[in-house]
Amino acid sequence: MNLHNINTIARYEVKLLQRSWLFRIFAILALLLITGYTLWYLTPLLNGAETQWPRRAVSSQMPFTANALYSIAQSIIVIFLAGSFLKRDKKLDTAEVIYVRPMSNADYIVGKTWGIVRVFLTLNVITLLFTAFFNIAIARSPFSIYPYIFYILTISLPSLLFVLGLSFVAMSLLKNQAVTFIVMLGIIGMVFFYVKDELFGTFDFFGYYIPVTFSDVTGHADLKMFLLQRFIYLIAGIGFICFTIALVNRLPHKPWKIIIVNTLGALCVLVGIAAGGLYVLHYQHQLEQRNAFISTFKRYADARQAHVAAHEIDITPADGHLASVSRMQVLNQHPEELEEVVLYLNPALQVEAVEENGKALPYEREHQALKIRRALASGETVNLTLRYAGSINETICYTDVLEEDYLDNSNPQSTPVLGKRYAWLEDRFTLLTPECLWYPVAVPTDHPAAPYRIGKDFTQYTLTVLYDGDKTVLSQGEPRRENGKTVFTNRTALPGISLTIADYEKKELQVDSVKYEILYFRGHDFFSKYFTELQDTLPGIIRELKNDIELEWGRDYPFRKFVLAETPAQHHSYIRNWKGYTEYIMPEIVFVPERGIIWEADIQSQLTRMENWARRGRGITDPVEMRIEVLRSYLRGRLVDENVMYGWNWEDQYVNKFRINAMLYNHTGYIQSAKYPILDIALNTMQSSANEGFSFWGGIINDEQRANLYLENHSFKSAISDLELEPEIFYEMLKLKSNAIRNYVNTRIPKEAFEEFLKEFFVHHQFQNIPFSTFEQALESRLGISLDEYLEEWYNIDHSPTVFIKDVAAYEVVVDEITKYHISFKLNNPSDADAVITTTVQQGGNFRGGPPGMGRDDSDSPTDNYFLPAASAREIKMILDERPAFININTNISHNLPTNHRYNFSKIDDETKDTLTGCFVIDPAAFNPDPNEIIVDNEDKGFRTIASNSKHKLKDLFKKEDEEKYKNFMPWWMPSKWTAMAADYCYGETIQSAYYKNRGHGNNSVEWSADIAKSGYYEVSIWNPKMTGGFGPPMRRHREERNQTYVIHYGTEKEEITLDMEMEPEGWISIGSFYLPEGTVSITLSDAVSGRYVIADAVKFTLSR
Amino acid sequence: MNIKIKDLVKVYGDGYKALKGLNLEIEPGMFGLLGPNGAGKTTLMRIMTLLQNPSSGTILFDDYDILKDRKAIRSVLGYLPQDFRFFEKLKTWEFLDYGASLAGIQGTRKRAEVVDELLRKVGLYEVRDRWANRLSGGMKRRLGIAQAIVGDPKVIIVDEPTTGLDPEERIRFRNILSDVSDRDVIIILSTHIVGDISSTCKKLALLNRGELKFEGSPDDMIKLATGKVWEIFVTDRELQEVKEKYPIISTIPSEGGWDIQVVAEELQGFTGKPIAPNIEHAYVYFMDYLLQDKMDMYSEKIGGELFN
Repeated sequence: MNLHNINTIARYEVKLLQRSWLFRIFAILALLLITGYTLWYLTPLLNGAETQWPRRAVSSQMPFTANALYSIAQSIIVIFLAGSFLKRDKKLDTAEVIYVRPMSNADYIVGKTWGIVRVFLTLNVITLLFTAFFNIAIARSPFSIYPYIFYILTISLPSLLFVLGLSFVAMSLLKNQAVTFIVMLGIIGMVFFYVKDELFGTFDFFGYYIPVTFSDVTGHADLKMFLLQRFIYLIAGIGFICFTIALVNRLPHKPWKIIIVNTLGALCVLVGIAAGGLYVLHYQHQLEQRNAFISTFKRYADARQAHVAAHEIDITPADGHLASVSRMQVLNQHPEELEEVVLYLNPALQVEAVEENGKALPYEREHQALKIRRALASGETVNLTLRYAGSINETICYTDVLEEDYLDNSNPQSTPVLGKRYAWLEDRFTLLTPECLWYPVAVPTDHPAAPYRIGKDFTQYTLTVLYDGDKTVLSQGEPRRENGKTVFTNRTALPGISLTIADYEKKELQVDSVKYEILYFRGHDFFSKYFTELQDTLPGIIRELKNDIELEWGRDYPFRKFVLAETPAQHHSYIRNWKGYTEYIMPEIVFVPERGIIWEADIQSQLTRMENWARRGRGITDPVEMRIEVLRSYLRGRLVDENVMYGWNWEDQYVNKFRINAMLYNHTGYIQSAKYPILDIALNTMQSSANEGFSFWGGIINDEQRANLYLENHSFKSAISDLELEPEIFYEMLKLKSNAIRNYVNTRIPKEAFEEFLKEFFVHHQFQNIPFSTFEQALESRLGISLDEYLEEWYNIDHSPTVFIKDVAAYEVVVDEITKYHISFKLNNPSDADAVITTTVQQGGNFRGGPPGMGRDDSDSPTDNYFLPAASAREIKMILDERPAFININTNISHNLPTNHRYNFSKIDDETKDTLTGCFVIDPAAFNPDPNEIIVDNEDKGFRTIASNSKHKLKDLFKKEDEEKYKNFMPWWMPSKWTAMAADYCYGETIQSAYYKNRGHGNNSVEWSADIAKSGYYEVSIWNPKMTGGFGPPMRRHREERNQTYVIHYGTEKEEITLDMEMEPEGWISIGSFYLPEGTVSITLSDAVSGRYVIADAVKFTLSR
Repeated sequence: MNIKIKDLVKVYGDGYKALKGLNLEIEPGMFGLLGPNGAGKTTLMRIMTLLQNPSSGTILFDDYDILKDRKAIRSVLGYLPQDFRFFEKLKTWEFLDYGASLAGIQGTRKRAEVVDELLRKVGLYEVRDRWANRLSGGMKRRLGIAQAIVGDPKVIIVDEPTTGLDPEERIRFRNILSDVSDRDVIIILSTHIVGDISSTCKKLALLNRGELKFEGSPDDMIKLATGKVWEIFVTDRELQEVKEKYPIISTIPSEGGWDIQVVAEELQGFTGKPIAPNIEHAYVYFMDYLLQDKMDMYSEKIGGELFN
């Protein structure tokens, strides 16, 4: 090869490319696109949403996002240009004067490639300069030049070479630009949408789905693997370019050179494949290792566990290595002898010695398991000393998580894939949590065989860290620094401890008995400037918040310290329903990944939003007040709320990984029950969601309803072993089930009494394992309630009751010469499962507007629970001092959809003399259907939808079959097929649903048919399901006509009645009186309507007397 | 430098034999390659410029074999293809600079000098900054020849260079070429415009159907036709008769009929006077009588351009 020739060809390729219109247009579009994207998605200039925060919290996010976008756009244009480049040469005579020149084919192709690469890289640099400018000037994102360069070299360059080489080869072989373009687009599309996740992201040549983010502290999650993956495409691209040299339509200088070039090409591609193989093997090995660890956990799943009463750890951390001595007081609490003591320790930590009072004990190691040959009699305690050293194998973490989730690198908040790390043991940063088994424990962290059988072991820990550096050492307990070591002593036993050594700066504040600390990496204080004005008020705000939380959750914060500690961006933890908390939440410490990257830590955006509100005359105007409010809602949103939303879709709720309720519950005690392993979590959940109202935002098909539907034909027992259940749905189920316990208890005793009992009981038994029998006995002796029988059904029942509600009415009643209000309604449970009904009454006149349940902490909305046994009916009567606005009747876990029913009392005119209150047994016959009335609902047999046989659209073929039957009504999206919707304004005795679809031409219709047993005059009504007022997406301002034509067929007659559904009120609408002969009568409704959609619910035939 | 063509055969994929064992020696100087369309001229030139492989046989440039020493041969070649266009987005000087650079002229300044000198030589200096594809036909051709001679190649191959040019441009073009041919270079000029050859080439070869039919100087070829070209006066009726019997080279209307020139071994049934043949006459005679390959004198292509 001749450099002069290569340079010459490259120089002119650059000129030709730069002067081509296609490229110029692309360059302008790319600049606009990147600039627009950067401004809209990465900076707060145009878009103030906090959701942007993960895209700019650390310095690598902005360059990666901009670069990835450029890289994809570039690939498409390169494919096109690669085709036209070879085509251009086909204008033979032009190319021939070049071809007769004395450069080699390699010079030619390499020169061309170098020219193209130069042009695209230059444009890449220019676009990134724009991004960098925004990064520095307006993004409030840390800036570092290194990721900019790094991503150009590792993302853009390999994908450019790969796409270019592959396109060249494709073009040389296919000899048709259009076909090449389509084939290449197909390949890109396939990789991008279908095989991106296959084999650990090996095929992802854009590097879009593999971990890319750099922590500003610890760098990349796994740089070697990242570079290996990128190398695959770099070398394969070079290989393809070699093939292009061989394929170019020009005689080579020396014919044998083709063999060399082809060999070189093949070699490069093989090296690429080998690199891919290595990459896959690496992860496969990791998975194999993981499976081995899982097997080990499973093997000892049934082994009886000892209890570690006290544990002193002396640890000497170094870069990538630690050496520790553990002195443990191990106790056998079981009535039987333990043949051996089984402990668990990170498999990369080598045990050097196990001693009892200086005497070596024999032991055996099997991955994480450590079997010490020392029998332990019942009640016996042994003092063991363990010496161990080595590194930390992170693969031991989260063995109870589904492999699919374990491998899933995606992140709902951040486009750049962060990567997952669970522990660090490095000079620059150390983070060890119980999950990584950095010290020996007797109760394993994970229980992959049956996750809910996970236990807890409360141990009195003392940690001595032999570290003399400048970094901050953080662990649970009171630290004491002495002669190059830090000793942490704890006041109480804890379920586990963590160790962090980092270059932290600190903000601290003592409020009452608790010391609040924020530990952040040097230079990462992006938050305090917003709250400088709050210095004096801060203690008050914190105190108030703490009190609120304690009141809400019914427990006191049990520690003396509350720390928010920053960890690198890749620090990952999973939602594990069986744990009830993530590893971000330790006793005393909350770990927050770097700059709150997945925490939406954009305080400025929240302040700006409040300021904007204030400017429009809403909300708080005082800047200090505003900051107080931001801080309060910020802390509540991050640490207290159970769900978080990433983005604007309220349906996209995620379980909050940083909810600190575990500090008050999970870390302070443990209810042990072999029979109901989930009971500890359930009782914690029951308490932490004690004071929550019912919140239904928008549609009724939400995760809570999905959980309820699941319980219609599954038991709770089977749910806990259904690892594929989405955590969000499971969490709602857990809440339903947990609340069911409370509701059940509350049908027997007042709510306050139960809450008081709970608090007292758990505080009394703090920081220890509590056998469930202890709890049960206490409950029975104190409140006279036995849960035994109830829990049996609670856990095992695989179906739910169906509850009918009728005759909900409110009257005025005069009691002792004072006007009060009387509410009554009837309930029927014809099923064989018991039901518990919860009612909430909103008092205080005509309560209008706002979503139901908005008034969460309304103390004047009394909540009651009623037990409704299987196959029974009840009438509930209550008297209220104030005028009720509405009553919510919640059927809880039941075959009802929705489970929550709201009855408004807009008018209370009638009076009653009835002053009785309570729950009265009535005859279920009261619920028998009216013999003079026939109702055909869309859930009934007499209803059917008639769909046209119109051709399927292509897109239908690709649409996944949606498993969910009922949808929420979406005013902005109309289905083209009859779709079941559920809403509380639809008719239904237990399932309030209807069918709807978009406007059609009359090819689709529905039919209600009924058998008329007795001829006569019938009044025929249809149900108009209409969302009236209330809370929902803002409806169109102008009224839209919605004519629906009902056709009634009876005997040989046929009559049409058209109604404007928008004008008619919600509920039953009479369409007239008809003389119906005996036999079948039917009503049809087609989709030829005047509105945007047609909705079909129920019809009613009432015999006129 | 000498070029030896040895037993050169080219058979295309479809079985068409473009060259059938060609043997030819070319010495420095301007060399004309004559032949009707499909004679194999272009195939020969493409093989010579290494754009194609021969099926068998070879060509030697001195000792360099086109099958083995392509790099060496490419470094002595200059080539102007027949229907020559330019990259759309290069300026006149850039196009030349590109060629010069690939021809091995290193150093920006030196190359600029070479390029400017050449541009002056071909009279394009004034338009050096114009887009190459915006030049007029003649200018383009001059730019073409400039890029073919840049870097002082030892062998310059020019394919149909004057097709479509006006007489003035054609003369300019010839002068540029003769200028170059003063040096010790081989210029191979493939054409079917016979006039180009007589005025410039010392030697020529005539190809027909892939075979060499004549090799020698233009004068040798003219000699062959001496006494075979006649001028006769015919009436309209006779003209038709003559047309069927002999190839007519020119027809000039005259009082009561036509003065025509025909090529014939001997005139039968007409009287005319023999005239001194020129190269065109010789070519027609050669094709029609020696090769018995009757030329269609009225076809547009040849009729339009042969006798200029």
